[in-house]
Amino acid sequence: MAVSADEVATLRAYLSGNMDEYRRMQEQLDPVAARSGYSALIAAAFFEAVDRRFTKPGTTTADIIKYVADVRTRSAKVSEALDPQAAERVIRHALGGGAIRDLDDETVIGAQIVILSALIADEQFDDASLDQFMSEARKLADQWAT
Amino acid sequence: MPEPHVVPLPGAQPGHRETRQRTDAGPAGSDEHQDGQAAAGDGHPVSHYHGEFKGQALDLYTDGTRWAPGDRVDGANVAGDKPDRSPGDTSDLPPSGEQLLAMDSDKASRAERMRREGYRQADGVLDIASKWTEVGHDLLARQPPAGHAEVSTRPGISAVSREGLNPGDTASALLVFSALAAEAVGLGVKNWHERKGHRDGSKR
Repeated sequence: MAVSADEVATLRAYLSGNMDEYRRMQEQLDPVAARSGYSALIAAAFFEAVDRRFTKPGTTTADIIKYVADVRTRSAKVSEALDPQAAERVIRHALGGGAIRDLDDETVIGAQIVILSALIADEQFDDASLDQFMSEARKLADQWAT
Repeated sequence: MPEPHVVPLPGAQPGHRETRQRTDAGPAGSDEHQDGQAAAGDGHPVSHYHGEFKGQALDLYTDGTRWAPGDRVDGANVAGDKPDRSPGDTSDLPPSGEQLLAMDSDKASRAERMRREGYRQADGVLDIASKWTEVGHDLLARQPPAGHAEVSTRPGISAVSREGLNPGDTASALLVFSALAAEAVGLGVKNWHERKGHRDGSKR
């Protein structure tokens, strides 16, 4: 099942920082369709954001560790909830290293959402750039979900 | 100098003047050529051919099995002319087409791995997302670190206050004015006494 426009709009609302709109839209998503579509969109957006940030020449594993540590210092809530080792593994996996089969769904999706949030905050997208980013994420998610 | 031996170039069109001429003399400055031939590293004699092709001068060398152009000398620099960087240094160039293809291929393979392991089709994805977006929202709500604080080197210029006099400023002004007035009065009195003294002395 392809990613729906509502799912794209919901994740976009979240990433643009509009939490009220995001909460309202997410309540209206179809839970059955979200299992494939929304999951794929979150994973694809995370993958694209990691690809933008960490595939620059000279990036090392130490940069990933530093980044996760930095993200945890930005928020007490994040520091408390995010498992740094799981987050590092999820990032490294998106870059082609290691395996994450042993991590449960919530750990993987949770890490993807939190790291995606940090990466998007760092990018400081304007509306057009965020639209472009969501378009690329949707394209990849559609390949996965269909 | 012997007469050049003229033979047709392979592939030359009939009727064209495209020929190669074999000379038995070596190139100017070459000590290795003897009658147009020298021994290659593997013992084969090297022949030097000079000719023209479409008006361009050609120098060709062959040991009978291989051909090499004579318009460059591998591995040699002009004396005193050092290259400013390695010939293989392409760090300041954009990625080549091959590199771009490799990058795309790398991304595609990583995306496929991601699909297999990182894409979790979770039944409760909406609940998980609700929980973790509340955590991650903190990161989107705050400004990201700017890297380093910007320090202005310009002199600080503060805006002119549009407010009227306040009691503190008034008190300070009165104190300064009083001090200056007292000092002025003191100087005036002293001056007056000095003048008076002069006059009294002159009378004496």
